Amino acid sequence: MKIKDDLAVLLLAELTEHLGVLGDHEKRRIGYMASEVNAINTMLEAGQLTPQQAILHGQIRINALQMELLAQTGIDDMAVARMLAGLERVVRRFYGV
Amino acid sequence: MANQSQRWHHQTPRYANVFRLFVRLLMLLSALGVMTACTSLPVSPYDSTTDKAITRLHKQTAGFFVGVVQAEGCEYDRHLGFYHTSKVSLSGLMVRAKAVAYNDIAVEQLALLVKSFDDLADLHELGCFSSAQVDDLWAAFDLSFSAILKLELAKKYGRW
Repeated sequence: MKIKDDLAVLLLAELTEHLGVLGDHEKRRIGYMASEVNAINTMLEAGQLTPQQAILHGQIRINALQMELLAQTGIDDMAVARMLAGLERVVRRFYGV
Repeated sequence: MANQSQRWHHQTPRYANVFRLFVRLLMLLSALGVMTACTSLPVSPYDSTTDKAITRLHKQTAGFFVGVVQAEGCEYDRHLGFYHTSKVSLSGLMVRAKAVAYNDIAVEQLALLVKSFDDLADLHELGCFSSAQVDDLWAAFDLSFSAILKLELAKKYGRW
């Protein structure tokens, strides 16, 4: 029973460590997207851009954000893979498999 | 007969224990199997050539933004060399990215970067860029290059 409790604690520690990393990324991503949402509209309203130019500016911005999201997706995949590897190591250590 | 029955009753708990242990071992091995299968999520390895080529293209793009903001020589026709060079670089990067296994995310990122360069050219054809436009475009392209490098460097260092 003691061993099972210790294992649970270790697994939980491993999980929270990795989930913490994922959570930080999400927060940063949302923060950045929120700050950039109105940039094009502001320039359009100020008469610095024509509607056609605004569409192209917007498209370039959207592409950049999509690339950022893809990078985060890849990094999250790697983080999950690493987390599972960590859990596997913990289980193996406990059961000597 | 009575003796046999007695012996069976004595042995049952031992068999039950062995069976329970066997089931637990089986479950543990199954769990480890699932974990191992999930651990090998397909992520391509770090590619230093891509890293260098993207860094080089980023420098070229930054140089373009520095030059294009000046009033003299800001027209699209005067910067055709940049657009051609970047198109060739992106084509090379794309071919390389597609040749690497499990590299779908990088391929998608590069396809978006190609689209952004096409949009930049279209935008430039509409007229010279103002400094506010250059700031916005530069920030967007910086974010794009950073996103590609972020993924590539995460593969290299395993940190994020």
